[in-house]
Amino acid sequence: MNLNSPLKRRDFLHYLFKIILLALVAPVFSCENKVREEPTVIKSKKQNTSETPPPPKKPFPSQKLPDVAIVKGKDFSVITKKAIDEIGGIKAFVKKGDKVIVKPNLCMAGRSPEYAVTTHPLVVATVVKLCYQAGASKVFVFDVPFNGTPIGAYKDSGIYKIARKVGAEFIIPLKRRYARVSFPQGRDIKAWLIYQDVLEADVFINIPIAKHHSLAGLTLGMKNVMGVIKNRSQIHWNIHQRIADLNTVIKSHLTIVDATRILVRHGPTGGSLKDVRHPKTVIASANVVAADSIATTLFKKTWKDIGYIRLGQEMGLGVADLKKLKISRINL
Amino acid sequence: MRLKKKKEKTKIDLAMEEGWRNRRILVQSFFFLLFLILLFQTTSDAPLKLVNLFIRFDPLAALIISISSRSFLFKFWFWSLITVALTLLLGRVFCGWVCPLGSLLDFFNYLSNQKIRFKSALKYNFGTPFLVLLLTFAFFSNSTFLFLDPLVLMERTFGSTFYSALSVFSQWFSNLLVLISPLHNLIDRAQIFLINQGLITDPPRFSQASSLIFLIFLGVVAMNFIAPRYWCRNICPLGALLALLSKTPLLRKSLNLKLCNDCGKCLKNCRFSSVNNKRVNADADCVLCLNCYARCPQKAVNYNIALPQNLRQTNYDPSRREFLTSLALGVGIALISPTDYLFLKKNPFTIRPPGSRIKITSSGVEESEFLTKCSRCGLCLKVCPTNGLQPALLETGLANFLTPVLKPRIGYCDYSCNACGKVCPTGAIEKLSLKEKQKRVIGLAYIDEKRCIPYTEYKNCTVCEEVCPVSKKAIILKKVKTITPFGEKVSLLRPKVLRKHCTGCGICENKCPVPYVAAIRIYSPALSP
Repeated sequence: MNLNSPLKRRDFLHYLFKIILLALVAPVFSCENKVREEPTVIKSKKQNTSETPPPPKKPFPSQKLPDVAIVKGKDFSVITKKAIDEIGGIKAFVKKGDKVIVKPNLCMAGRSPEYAVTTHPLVVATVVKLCYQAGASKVFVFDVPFNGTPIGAYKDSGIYKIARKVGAEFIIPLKRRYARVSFPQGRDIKAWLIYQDVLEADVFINIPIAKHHSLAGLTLGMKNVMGVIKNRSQIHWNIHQRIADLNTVIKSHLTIVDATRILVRHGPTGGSLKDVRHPKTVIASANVVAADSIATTLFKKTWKDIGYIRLGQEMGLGVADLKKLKISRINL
Repeated sequence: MRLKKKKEKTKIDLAMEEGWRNRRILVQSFFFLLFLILLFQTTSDAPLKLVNLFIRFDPLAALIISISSRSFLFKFWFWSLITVALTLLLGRVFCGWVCPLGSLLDFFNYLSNQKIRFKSALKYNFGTPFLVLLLTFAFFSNSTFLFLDPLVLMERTFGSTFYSALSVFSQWFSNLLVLISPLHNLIDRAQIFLINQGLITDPPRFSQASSLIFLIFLGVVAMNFIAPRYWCRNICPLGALLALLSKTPLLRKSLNLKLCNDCGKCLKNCRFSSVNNKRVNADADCVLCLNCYARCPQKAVNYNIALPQNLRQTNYDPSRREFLTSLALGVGIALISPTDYLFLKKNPFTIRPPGSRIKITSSGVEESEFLTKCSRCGLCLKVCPTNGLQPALLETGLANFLTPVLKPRIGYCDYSCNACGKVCPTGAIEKLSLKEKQKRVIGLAYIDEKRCIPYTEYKNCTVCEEVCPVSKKAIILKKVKTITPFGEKVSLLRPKVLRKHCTGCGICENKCPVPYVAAIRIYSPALSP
C-alpha cells in the first residue's frame, strides 16, 4: 500500500474484500470450545443409542447361572474374581479385541481407600486384569471427581498405583470430547452431554462403591453413571427420574458393587472412620438394577426406598424385585 | 549491492564474536530455559521444592520484605546472599548472564537490532531513586512496589498471562484442526499429552488481571525502543541495587592504551554505555556481556582481577540531590496513601489462600504480615489446580494490588491440595501439611435464601451439601414441609450452614447451580463474631 498517494476506489474495494474474507475466517478461531454436536462415532457393537431397544422379557440370557452373585471374604481380589465367575465369567462380557471402560466411583481427591469414599483399588485392578486375560485390547479407567483434579483422584484413591501395573490406562477428560446424545426413552431428559470414549467403548463396566447419599438415599451403580456426563449438578433437580433416564443410554454391561467397606453416614464425601462399616462383600451382576437392589440390603433398606431403583424397574431397565432374582451367596 | 555489503560485515563480525560472548549467550539461554522449566513444573502434583528458585536468588525482594515485615527471612537470604557475593566479586553478572528478563530483552534487541534513539533519556537514572522509594516504602511496612522487581515480573507474566495464552492458542489451533481434518482422536490425544506434561490446561486458565499484567510487561519490553535494555540500565530497582554493590568489583575490564587504535567498536557494541568515549570504565554499569572484549580488533580490552588504583575510573555515584528528592517523594507518598480510602478498602469477600499469615480478630482480619511478606510473584496463582486463586485488582485496596485472593466462583480451594504454601518463596503463605490445611479456616459460607433453589423454586437441590468435603459436614439438610405459592404441599430438603465446621473452601459456591452469583457465598472469616 502506498500511503503517499490517495487511495483509489479499486484499491479500497480490494482491501474491503480482504478484510471481509478475514472476518469470515476468524470465527474458526473462536475461543469458545465447541462441543461436537453430533458425534461421528456413536454406534458401537453393543450400544444402540439411536434405536429404542425392546424391553427385555428375560432379563438374563442363561437360566442356569445366577443373576446376582454376592461373595463375602477377606481377600478382595479373590472375592471379586469369584463373584464375576459366578455369573458366567469375564468372557461372557468381554470379547477379544474389545475396548473396555472401567468406571469406579472416585467422587473426590484427597481421600484414601479406608474412608470408603472411593472404590477399592484392589477390586478395580482385579477387574482390569481379568479384562486383559479375556483378550481386551485396551482397558481404560475413567471418572471425573467433583473435588480436585482427575489425576489427583486416581492417585489418592490408590487406583493409579495398582491398576497401572496391570496395564490400565487413565482417561484425562477433555472438554471437547463431550458429545450431545439424545434420550429417546427418557421421561425427563431429552438430551445430555456424555463423554465420547464411553459411547465408543465396547464394554462399560460399572464398579460403584456402596455409600450413603443425602438426596438419593444411596449411591450405587445406577447413580455412578453420573460420572461420565456433564452438568452434573442439574441432575439433582429431579434426581431419581434423571438417573433412571441416564441409564437408558449409558448401559452397564457388568456391574460390580464394591461393598468391601461402606459409608453409612455423611455421604458421599465422608471423611470420618466412624461412619465406615466393613461388610467385606462384592456384588456382581449383568444388570445394574438387580445389583443395586441387592446392595440396598446392606444398609438395612429395601429397593423400594431408593427412588431410582424403583423407577429403573418401572422403565424396564432390569429386575429389582428380590423374589424374581436368582441369587447365589458365597462365603469364602 | 547493499545486501552484499551487509553480508560481508556480518562475516567479519561473526569471526570476532567467538569465544566468551557465545558462552555468555549459552549461559543466558540455559538460565532462561531453566526458568521456563521450573515455571511449568509449578503444578500441584509435581515436585515442588525448587520451583521458586529464581525469586529466592533475588536480594532486592529479600531486603524489602525483611525491612517491611521486620523479620529476618533466613531461607530467603541464604540464596540471595549468593547473588550478593557474586556481585561483589564479579560485578553485575546476574544482570548480564542470569536474569531471565535481561536475556529476553537481549533477545528482542537481537531480533530488532535496536540502537540508542534518545540519548538524552539515558542521562536520567531512575533506578536509584526507585530503589530509595522502595526502601522508604518498606520502612512504612509496604512492599507494594515489589511488583516491578524483574524476577517477580517475569514469574507473574509468564505464569499467568503467557501460560493461559498457550492453552488458549492450543485450543484455537486444535479446534481448527478438528474442523479441517478427520483425525479427531489423534488431535485429542495430542492435547491430552500436552495436558499431562503440564504445558496447557483444559479449559484454559484465566486471571482477572491478565491483560494488565501483560501491559506492564509490554511497557518494560517497549523501553527497548529508547535504547537497548533501557529498563535494565535506567529503571530496574534490582539492577540499581546490584550497581551499588558492584561499585568496585574484583574482576574488572581494563584497556591497553598502547594497543588501542581508537576504532570505537567497543563504544558501539556496549549496550550499557559502560565504556564511554573517553574510554573510561564505569564498572557499576558493566554487566559483563563481553561484547567489547570479543569485538575489539586490537585485543586491547581485557578482563582481569585488578585493584582500583590501576585503572582510570569514574565513580558511580548517584547525586545527593537525586537521593534526597526520591526520599522525600517516598515519605510523601507513604504518608499520604493511608488517607486515601482506595488504599485501605476492606472487602467482605477477601479470602486469602490457606496458611496466609493473617490474624482473625473480632474487629476484622489483620493482614499486615501477609501483605508485607507477599512479593506479588504469582507463583501461588500458577500452582492453584482449580484456578481459584486470582491476583487482586482493586477489590482489596490499591496497596494490595496483585496479591492473591480466592474467587470461589472461578475455583474452590481443593481439599486435597496444599501447594500454594509449598511454592511461596517468601513465607507469606505458611507451609502447611495437608491435615493442617484441611482444618484451616479461610472463610465462612452464608446461604442467600432469596436465591437458593429449595427456598424459591420449591425443588430439591442438595449440591452444596453433597460436595462439602469436611468430615462433619458444614452444611446440613433440614426436612421441611411447606406449602408452595400454588397451594401444593411439599416436603423438601433445605440446606443450612453450620458455621462451626465450615472452613470456607468455597466448593459449595463453586458448584452451586444458580447462575452468575451463587446462592451460597463465602465471606471473610471475620464476619462471624
